[in-house]
Amino acid sequence: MSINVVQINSGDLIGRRFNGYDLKPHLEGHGVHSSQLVYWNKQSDADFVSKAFDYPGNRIVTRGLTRVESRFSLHARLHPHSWALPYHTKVREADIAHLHIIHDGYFSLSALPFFSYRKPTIWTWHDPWPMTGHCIYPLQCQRWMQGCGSCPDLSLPFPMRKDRTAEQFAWKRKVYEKTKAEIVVASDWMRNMAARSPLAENFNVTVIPFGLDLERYKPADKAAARARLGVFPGRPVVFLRASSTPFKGLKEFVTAVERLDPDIRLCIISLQETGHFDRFIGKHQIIEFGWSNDENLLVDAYAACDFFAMPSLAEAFGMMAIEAMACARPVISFEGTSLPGISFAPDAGLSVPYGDSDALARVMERLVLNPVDCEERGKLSRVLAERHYDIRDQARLTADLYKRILSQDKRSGSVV
Amino acid sequence: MKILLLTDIPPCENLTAGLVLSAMVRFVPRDGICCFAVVNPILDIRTTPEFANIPTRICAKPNENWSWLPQRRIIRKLSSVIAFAGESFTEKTSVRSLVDKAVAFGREQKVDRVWVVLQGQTTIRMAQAVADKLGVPLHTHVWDPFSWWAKANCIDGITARRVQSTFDEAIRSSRCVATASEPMAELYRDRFKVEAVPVISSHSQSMAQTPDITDHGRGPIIIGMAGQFYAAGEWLQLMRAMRASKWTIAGRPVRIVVMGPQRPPGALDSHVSFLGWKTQPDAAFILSQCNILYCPYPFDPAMKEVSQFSFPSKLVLYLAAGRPIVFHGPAYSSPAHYIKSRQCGLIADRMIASAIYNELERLVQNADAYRTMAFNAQSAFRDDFTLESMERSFNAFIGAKGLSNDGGVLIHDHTKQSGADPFIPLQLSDASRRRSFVWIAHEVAKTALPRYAHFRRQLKGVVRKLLLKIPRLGSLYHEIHGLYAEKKALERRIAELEEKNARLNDLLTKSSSIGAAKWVDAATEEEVALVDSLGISPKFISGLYPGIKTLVFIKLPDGGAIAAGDRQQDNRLSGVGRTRFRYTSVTYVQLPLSEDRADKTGDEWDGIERSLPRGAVAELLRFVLQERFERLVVADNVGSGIAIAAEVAHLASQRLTVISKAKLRLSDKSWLASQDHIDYVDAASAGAANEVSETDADGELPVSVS
Repeated sequence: MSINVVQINSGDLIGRRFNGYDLKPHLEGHGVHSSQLVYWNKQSDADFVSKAFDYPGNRIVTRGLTRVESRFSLHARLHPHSWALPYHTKVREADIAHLHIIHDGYFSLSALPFFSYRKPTIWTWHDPWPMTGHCIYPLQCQRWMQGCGSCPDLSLPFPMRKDRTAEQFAWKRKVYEKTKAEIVVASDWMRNMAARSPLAENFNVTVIPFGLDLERYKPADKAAARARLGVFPGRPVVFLRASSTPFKGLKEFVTAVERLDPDIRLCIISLQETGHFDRFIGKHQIIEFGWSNDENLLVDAYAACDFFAMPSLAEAFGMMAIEAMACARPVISFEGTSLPGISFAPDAGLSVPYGDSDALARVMERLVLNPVDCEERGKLSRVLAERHYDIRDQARLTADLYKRILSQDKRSGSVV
Repeated sequence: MKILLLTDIPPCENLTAGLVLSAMVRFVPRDGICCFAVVNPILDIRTTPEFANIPTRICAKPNENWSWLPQRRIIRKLSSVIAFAGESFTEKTSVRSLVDKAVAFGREQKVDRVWVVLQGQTTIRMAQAVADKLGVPLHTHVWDPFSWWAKANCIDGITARRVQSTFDEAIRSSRCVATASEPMAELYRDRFKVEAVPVISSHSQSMAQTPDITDHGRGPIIIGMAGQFYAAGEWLQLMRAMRASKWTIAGRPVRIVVMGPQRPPGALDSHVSFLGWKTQPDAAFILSQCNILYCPYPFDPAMKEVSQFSFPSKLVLYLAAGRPIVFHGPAYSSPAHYIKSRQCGLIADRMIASAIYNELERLVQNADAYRTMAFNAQSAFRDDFTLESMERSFNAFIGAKGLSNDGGVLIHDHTKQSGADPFIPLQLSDASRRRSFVWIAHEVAKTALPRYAHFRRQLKGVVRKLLLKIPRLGSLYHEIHGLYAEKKALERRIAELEEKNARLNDLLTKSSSIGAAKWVDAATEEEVALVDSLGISPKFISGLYPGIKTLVFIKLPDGGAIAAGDRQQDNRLSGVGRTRFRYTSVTYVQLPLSEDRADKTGDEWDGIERSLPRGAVAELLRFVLQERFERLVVADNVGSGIAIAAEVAHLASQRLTVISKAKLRLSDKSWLASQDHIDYVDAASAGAANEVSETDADGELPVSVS
C-alpha cells in the first residue's frame, strides 16, 4: 500500500534532520512517498519540495501581520491564507498531512480544526509551545499546567508586550478541542509534559525519537579532524553549539569555563554564534565557525572533540546530542531537560544539577583528566545510538503511524 | 616599437596608479612611447622631469562619477535615469571627440601598438575604437574589475551592462592583457581565450631584506602592518583579539607597529605605535625587524570580486621584508591563494577575533614553520616581485624584446636632453579644465554648498522661532533640549573617564614592561658610574624627560666592553662589546664598535646613511620598537654613533636628543642640520643635574625593581 504524505514546515534544509527532509528516502522503503511544503525558506532544489502560497506580496503581508500580532501580544492567529492550505495541490494530493514547525509566523492555529477535518493530520511538537500561553520553553515556570496568566517572563520567545498568556492559552484550548490530529513527540520528557498539560488532553501522543544516518555520523579519525580544524596539539577539545537564546545555557557554560582548573587549557569548538568566548582568547584556543549547514564541518567537529557539551536549560529532544553519541562522544548536560535521558546519563553521558555551572566545570575537568573514562563513555554512547537512534527505526515507526492513522481515518469515513 | 599609452592617469609621482605606470614606462626604450591622458579635471597630477621626453597630450575626461546624485530608495531610480541620460550623451559626444584626438595623436606619433588602461567608462569606450582606427594591435591593462568601478561610481544598470560589454570586447580583441593578479589573468585566459599576463608593481632587488629569522622564543613579538586601512573591520578584530589576550601571544608580550598614510581606525592603544608614512625601502627595512607581518583584506561580500582578482601592493612589500605573513582575509582572495601556494604565511579565513589570534599563536609556537615561511617569503619576492620579474612580465605583455644582456633590469632614460627647454610640469590647460562639466560642477558645489548650509541654518532658526511661539511645542522643545544637554554631559563624562582609563592602562603598561622586562638587566654600580662619567647620568636624563621611557645610546670611551659577566644572552646585542642595562625609566644601549665613517663619507646624509652598518641599525631599531621608547638620547661624543642614532630615530619616528658638553658646531656636520627630528641640549646649561647618583641611607645605589 502506497501512502502520500505532505510534510508541512517552515523550511526544508534548516532543520532537515527532524522535519522529514532527511527521512524521505528511508520512508520510501516503507511505501511512503513524502513531499515537502515549506513557507519561509526553500533552500534546496529538490523536486519534492514546494513553496506554499508562493504568489507576489504574500510574504510581505505575512510579515506585516506578524508585526500586528506582536503589537497586540498575539501569536499565530492572523494569517488568513491558512484556511486555503487544505486546497493546495500538494495537500490535496496527499493522504496525510504531517505538520512540523507551524508557529513561526505564517500559520494561524485557528485554521487547524478546519484543516484537520479535511485531511488526516499528524502534528509533531518539536518544542512545548503548543502547550503554553506564549513561550517556546517554560523553563522553571509551571503555570502552563494551570492555564498560564501572570507570566513571570514575557521576554522569553515568543515575547509579549502585554500579558495575554491566559487568553492565548484559552484560545489554544478551544482550537484543540475542535482539532482532530495525532501528536508526535520525540522524547519521554515531552510525553510526560504532554501528559500533564491541559491542552494536550484531547490528543493521542506517540513517541518517535528522531534518528540519524549512522553511516554518516560515525566515529572518525580524531587526529585528522583536528588537523583539518587547526586544533593546537595536546589540547583537550570540547564542542558545543553557541546560541545566546535563553534556552541553550551558553551563559552557564561560559561561567563553567571560567571556573575550570587554571592549569587546564582547552580547545573550544563552537558553531552558530561567534564572539561569546573572546574573554578566553590567549588561555583556551577558540575555534568558532558561526552559522553553518555544512554537514562535513559538523562531522569533523564531532570527530575532533573529546566530549560534547549541551548545557541546555530546556530541550525537547537534543538532535546534536544524538549526533555526538553516534560519533562516539559522551554528552554533558543539565538535569531537568530531555537530555540526560537522551544521552543515557550517568552511564554514557554525564548530567549535573540544573543550571549549576560549578558542577558543570567539575564534570568537564573529570573528562579532561580521565581521557580513558571519556573514551569508554564515548564508545558506549555509540552503542546506544545504534540501538535507539537509527533513522531506519524512525522511518519504520513513522510509516507505521501513517498506516495506523490512515486506516483509522478510513474506518471513520472522513471526507478528504 | 612605438607605443601609444592611453590612460586616465599618466606616469606621475603623487598617485599610486601613476607610480606603477612610471615603473613600467621605465622599461620602454627612449622615444618608444607617447602618452594620451584623459584625466579627471579635479585631480592634481604631478608629472616629473623624468618623463619629460615623452610626447604627451592631456585632455579632460567627461564625468564618470554619479555618486553625488541622491542614492536613497525611490530617489535612486531618478538618479539612475539622470546618470543614464548623462552617460548616453557623453558616449555620443565627448568620447567620440576624444577618440578622434587620440587617433590623430597616434598617427602623428606613428605608433605601432596601443596600450590602454581600462579604468573608467571613458578609456574603456575609447580602447578598441582607437586601436581599430589606427589599425594597430591593442594591449589592454586592467587594475580592477569594472563591476567594482560601476558600483563605486553609482553608474546606472543599463550603462554598466553596456560598458561591461565594451570592456569584455576590448579584452577579447586584445593582443595581450596585463592584469592585477594571476587569478585575474587565469579568468581572462579561460573566459576570453586571450593571452593574459599579471603585471604587479614590484621593487628593486636591493629592497629585499634577509633578516635573522632565528627566534629564540623570548622577548616581545612585534607585529608589523603597512599601507592603507581599507579593511578596517578586520583590523578592529585584531585589536579585539589582542585586548582579550591581554596583549600576549603564547605568553609573550606583543607590540604592533603601523606605518602608512592614515592612522589605524579606532582609538590607538598604547601597545600600537604609528610611525606615519615611510618610503618603500624604509618600510621594508622596518618591517624586516618585526616578527610577523599582518595583512588584512576585506571580507565584505560586496568586495568579493575585487578580493578575488586584485593584489595588494602591501603584500609585495611584506615579501620584500622577508618575514612570515599572517593574512586576515577570505580564502577565495588572490593574496590567500598566493600565500598558500608559496607557503610564506598563514591564513585566518574568518573575520572574528579568535580566528586571527589562532593563526598568530600557531606561527609563534612553531619555530620550524616560522623559519620556513620566512625563507619562502624571501624567495617569493626574489622570484616574483623584483623589477626583473616585472620587466619580464611587461615585455611579455607589450610584445617587446627580452632582458638586457647581463640579465639585469634595463631602465631607460626619458628625461629631456641637456640644453633643452626647462621642464614645465604637464597639466590640463585652464581653458580645458574650465570647459569640463566635472570641474564646473566641482567649483559650483564648492561655492554653493557652504551657502546652502548657511541658508538652511538661517531657515531653521526662523522656523524654530515661529514654532516656539506655540506653547505646547515650546515646552516640548525645552524638554527635549534638556535631555540632549544631559546626554552631551554624560558623553563628555564618558570621554573623560575613557581618557583616564587609557592613561592608567598606559601607566600600567609602562610599569609592567619596565618591571617585567627580563631581557634588560638592571644597572650595576659600575655601569651607573660609567654613564655618570660620560655626562649622561640617569638622574640627568630623568630630569630632562621625567616619566618618559628613554633610551640612551652610549659608546664606551676606550671602545671596550663592560665585562659581560653572567649577563643573560638576550642582554647582549650580537657582537662583542654590545650590551644594555636600565635604571628606572632610562635604558642604556651600547652603540656598535666601528670606525668613525661619518667624516670619510662626506657630509651629505644620503652618503652617511648608506655607510651605516645595517645589521647594527636593524638590531637597535628592533630594540626600540620592542620596548616602545618615547625618547631617544645620544651624547655627542659618540662620533658616527650619532648618525646611527639619528637613523634609528628616523626609522622609528622618534625624536632624538643630542646632548653636548661643548656647543656643537653644526657647520662641521651639516647633515645634522638636515635632520628635522633632532633636538639639542647643551649639557652645561642644563645645570648641575649631571652629577653622580646619590646613594640611600644604607650606602646602596637605588636599583629599580626587575
